[in-house]
Amino acid sequence: MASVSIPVAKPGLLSEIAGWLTTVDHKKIGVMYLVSTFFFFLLSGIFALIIRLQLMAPGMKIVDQNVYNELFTMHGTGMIFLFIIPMLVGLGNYIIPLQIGARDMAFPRINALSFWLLIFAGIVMEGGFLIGGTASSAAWTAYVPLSTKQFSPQSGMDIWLFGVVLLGISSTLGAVNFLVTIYTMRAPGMTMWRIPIFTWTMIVTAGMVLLATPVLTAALIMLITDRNFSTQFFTTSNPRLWQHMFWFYSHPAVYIMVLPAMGILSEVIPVFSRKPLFGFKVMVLSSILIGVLGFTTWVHHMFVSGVDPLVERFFMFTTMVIAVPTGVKMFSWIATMWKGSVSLKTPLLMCIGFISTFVIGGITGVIQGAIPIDMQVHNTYWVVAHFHYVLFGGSVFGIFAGLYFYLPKITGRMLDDKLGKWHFALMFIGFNLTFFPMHILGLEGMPRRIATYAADRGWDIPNLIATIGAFTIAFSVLIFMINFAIYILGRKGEVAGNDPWEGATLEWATTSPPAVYNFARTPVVESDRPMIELRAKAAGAKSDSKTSGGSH
Amino acid sequence: MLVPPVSQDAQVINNLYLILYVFSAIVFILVEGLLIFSVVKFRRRAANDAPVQVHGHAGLETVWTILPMVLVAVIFLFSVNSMGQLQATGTFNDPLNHVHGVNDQVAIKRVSEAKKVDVVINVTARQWVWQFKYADGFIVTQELVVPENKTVRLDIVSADVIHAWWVPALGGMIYVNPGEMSHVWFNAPAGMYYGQCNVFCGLAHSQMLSNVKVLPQADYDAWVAQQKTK
Repeated sequence: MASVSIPVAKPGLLSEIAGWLTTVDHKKIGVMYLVSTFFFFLLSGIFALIIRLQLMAPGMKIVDQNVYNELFTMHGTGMIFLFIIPMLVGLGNYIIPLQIGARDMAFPRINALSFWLLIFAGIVMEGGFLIGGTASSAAWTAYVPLSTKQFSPQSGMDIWLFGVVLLGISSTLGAVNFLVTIYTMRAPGMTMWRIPIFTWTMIVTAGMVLLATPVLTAALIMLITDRNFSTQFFTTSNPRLWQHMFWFYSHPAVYIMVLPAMGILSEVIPVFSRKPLFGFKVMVLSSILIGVLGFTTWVHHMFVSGVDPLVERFFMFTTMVIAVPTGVKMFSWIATMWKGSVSLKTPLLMCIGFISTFVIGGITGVIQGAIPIDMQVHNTYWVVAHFHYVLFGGSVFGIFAGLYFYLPKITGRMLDDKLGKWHFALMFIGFNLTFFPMHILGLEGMPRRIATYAADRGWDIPNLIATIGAFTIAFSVLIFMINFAIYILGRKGEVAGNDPWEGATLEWATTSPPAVYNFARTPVVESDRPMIELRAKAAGAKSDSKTSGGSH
Repeated sequence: MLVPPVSQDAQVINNLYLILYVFSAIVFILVEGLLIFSVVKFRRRAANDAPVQVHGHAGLETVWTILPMVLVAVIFLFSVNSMGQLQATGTFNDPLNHVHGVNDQVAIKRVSEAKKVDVVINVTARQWVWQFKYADGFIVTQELVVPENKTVRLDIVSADVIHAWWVPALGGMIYVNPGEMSHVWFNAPAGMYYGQCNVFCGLAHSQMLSNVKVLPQADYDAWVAQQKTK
């Protein structure tokens, strides 16, 4: 069924553009998510490169310290709010209706609204650079009172806050849409335990977004009114109120960024090992457990800001316990590969990158969860190393695993595997060169968010290595873009066909790219790996039609 | 790999770090070893490889749930034990004693009775400088000077935003919140110890140094006399 040609007039460029701008198709919206969030990834990445140049050697003056402060603020907020979270939402947007055998999301127009709010919010947040070069420079944490009018008078701070409010609305709407879609629109036969694992992780993620985001949104609006309408929510009260509200969202946000990436791994690893996911139910339960425990750890960001010691002990315990369900996932992935037939294609390599680096982020997370250690590494480069091992080593490797895995479905063409391997190898080396030395810098006492440092502190060599690593990562991303440009945009890649990887879930049952209506006939699901049966049936039909019956 | 600890607190933290480092190394080697082994050993050799379809194993899944829980519990107990040691030295970040409202007289009394000290210095953090006011009335900035092997207490307040006191070799990081007073205790041999503000506090955050110079008693007395005549 490669070529079903329907004679239609080729639309002009203008109507093509208008079609994208007005679309409510989850696939087109998904593609727009991927493209625009990748743009924000590049932008925030360029900020990171400037940061690394500035820190390459002591006493550098590549940028002024006020610009430096804007750059690390916008690097963090850009990567979190405009890249990792919406990139995963974009992948979910494209894949989840296909995975559950639906024709679209439950609320297609709200889906479009979520996307356009994101774009609007991104422009508003980055817009601070345009209005007189005064973007927010209070760090992504925007601690009160530094972020109040008195200490951050620039309008860039207000529009940054406003942009994050818009993002909060966008992701809350998206979460409702995902939950309703998955709850109501599954193909017949898809019981709860037959929901694909990526979809499961999006259920948990959407639940977390629904519970956590309104708290951040409320805090942001309170700060906006404090700044502009002389309300007194934060200015006269406990200095920790903002921190509690901020981290009540921002710690779960880590899992909002990691769980869907874990879902991608749980799809990719079985396919490339030719085995089912080891312990499917335990994987689902561990995702739910991470989602629940994720709400009980936020105070570990405040161990040295003056919280009751008994409360601190409780949060120290929860912080360490959350490593258990995460560990279960690690072991289950390895067990999935165990005695499998492991195909070392780029999507799987990205998964190996995830597991091997995320384990370091997990270990350092437990270590710094110990309050005495936190008293020595809090706010140092150790922490910067830790969360990059979680969010880059984890989420970003997971995102690239997802892109290499799903771009053939989305575009109909295969990426080049050799270039993909180069991308993986350089990104893996560059990542470790950049972030491993930061552990050492933190232990040697280098605080984060400093624009420069003196030569007598002995921080030169790890910083130089980190800068070299950062440019290695940039080069590897360039390879990915070249791969994409030649083999997908340039249509040089092999034609993917419906099912290039021997997938297990329904998205592989339809064409690549899928038709507007996704499935000509709504599929009926008979197991947790419907494609295995569909393939067996197809093979059976083929061998039935042959009298010899000599299939392998 | 931590900054060489000189105070008792920094030593306690360092000991805990070394213990957790050993646990970490074991977990790291186990996971990475299993990962590398399974990728290398079980890589696809033939296009039509058809491995046995294993869906899970309840026993294994129980084991790798229980074992990490035990490990985490052990790490938790080691950490609580270290917290106890820090509390015994008087420097543990216990906000009932160590962070309180600026005018909370009850807390101030409790702090002054908590531990006998030789030197008390009033510290004010402001964008982007630390000011040290000595009992003799003079004020210095940027560099704190104290006598060696004497127990020192810092009473720290903020004049504007949140700052954090931290001298890595002396341990005892603590936030300094506007409207509150934070306390740090230490006792150090002679030497020069680097430190700087450890919460992002605005434009010149990177220049807000809090270096501590610990002098032998005679040198310290001479330094104080010199400051008084200024």
